[in-house]
Amino acid sequence: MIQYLELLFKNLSSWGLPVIMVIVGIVEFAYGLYESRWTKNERILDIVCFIVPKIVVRPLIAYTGLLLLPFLLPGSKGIFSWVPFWWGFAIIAVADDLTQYWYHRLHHQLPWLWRFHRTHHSASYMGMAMASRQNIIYTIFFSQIYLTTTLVYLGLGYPALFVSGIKSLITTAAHSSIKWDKPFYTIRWLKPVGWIMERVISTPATHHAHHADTTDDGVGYYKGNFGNMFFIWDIIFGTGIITRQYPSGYGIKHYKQEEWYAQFLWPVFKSRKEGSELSPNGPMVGDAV
Amino acid sequence: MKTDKITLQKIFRDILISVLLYTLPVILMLLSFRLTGQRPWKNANNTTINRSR
Repeated sequence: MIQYLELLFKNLSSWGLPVIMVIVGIVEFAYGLYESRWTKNERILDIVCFIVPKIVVRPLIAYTGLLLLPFLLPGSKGIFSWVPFWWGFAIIAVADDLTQYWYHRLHHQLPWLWRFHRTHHSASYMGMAMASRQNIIYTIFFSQIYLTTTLVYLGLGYPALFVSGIKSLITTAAHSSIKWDKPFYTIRWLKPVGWIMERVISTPATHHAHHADTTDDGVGYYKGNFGNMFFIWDIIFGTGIITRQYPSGYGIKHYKQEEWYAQFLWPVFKSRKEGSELSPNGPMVGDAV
Repeated sequence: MKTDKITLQKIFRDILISVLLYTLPVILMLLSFRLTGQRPWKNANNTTINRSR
């Protein structure tokens, strides 16, 4: 049984997750969940963001890690391999996800960081298409990747395999335009499970609220709900709201359909759209984010 | 454009809480070793020595 689980998570971390995303994405598209908002510019941006990190950024980080860590931490390879599996699992889960919570939260709360994260919020739709959509700088400096790579080098690689697999499934599912969590709020006997689930992990309801284009309806909350795998950080720090509803609109109000290359590579390439946050003399933050 | 003072105070406070949260699983693990008398790092050392022989 454990061997099958191990094989499952190994495949998930290599080709499994991209395949799941493509299949779910096709289902979303077939059900018309992107409506007519997946324009050519959005399509190119989403596809480039889906492919480039997988074939360039991840291998580069792994290679750099393997090269640098023996110099930075000499004689430390595998020194914590004695840590029992479930403790290793807990250590990695907290270290990885809490670091991502902070990385994400600071990109919303420190205005000078916002433009590196804006690309993820500019999509006016939710779903597999936009789940990987990020500016390249945001992806490269994805801080928890380095922390987790270091913990793997120190001997926690086996629990890290399971944590990263579970985490990627939860975060991907939270971005889906399929509202799979709805039965947990409507079916009576599932409600207690839903109550716990929405406080522990990110769900479409809580994460869609984070991607809303307004907070005026009392459902959208782009100023919070920063959690990725765990929602519990938002509960602890008071940055989350739970409404069990889904926003009517997604994206950012001041979006100017900036060129895909500017969104992907800002500040290397800038937008020609007048008044855009990504234009050469554009505002740091278009409106309150 | 600057971050308002209240937000900065909250960030600072929450970072301090986070330091505790980061160490929590490590502290709980060490506590469990103390309570159960487990010494898994000693087994790991023995295994390494046996392997080298």
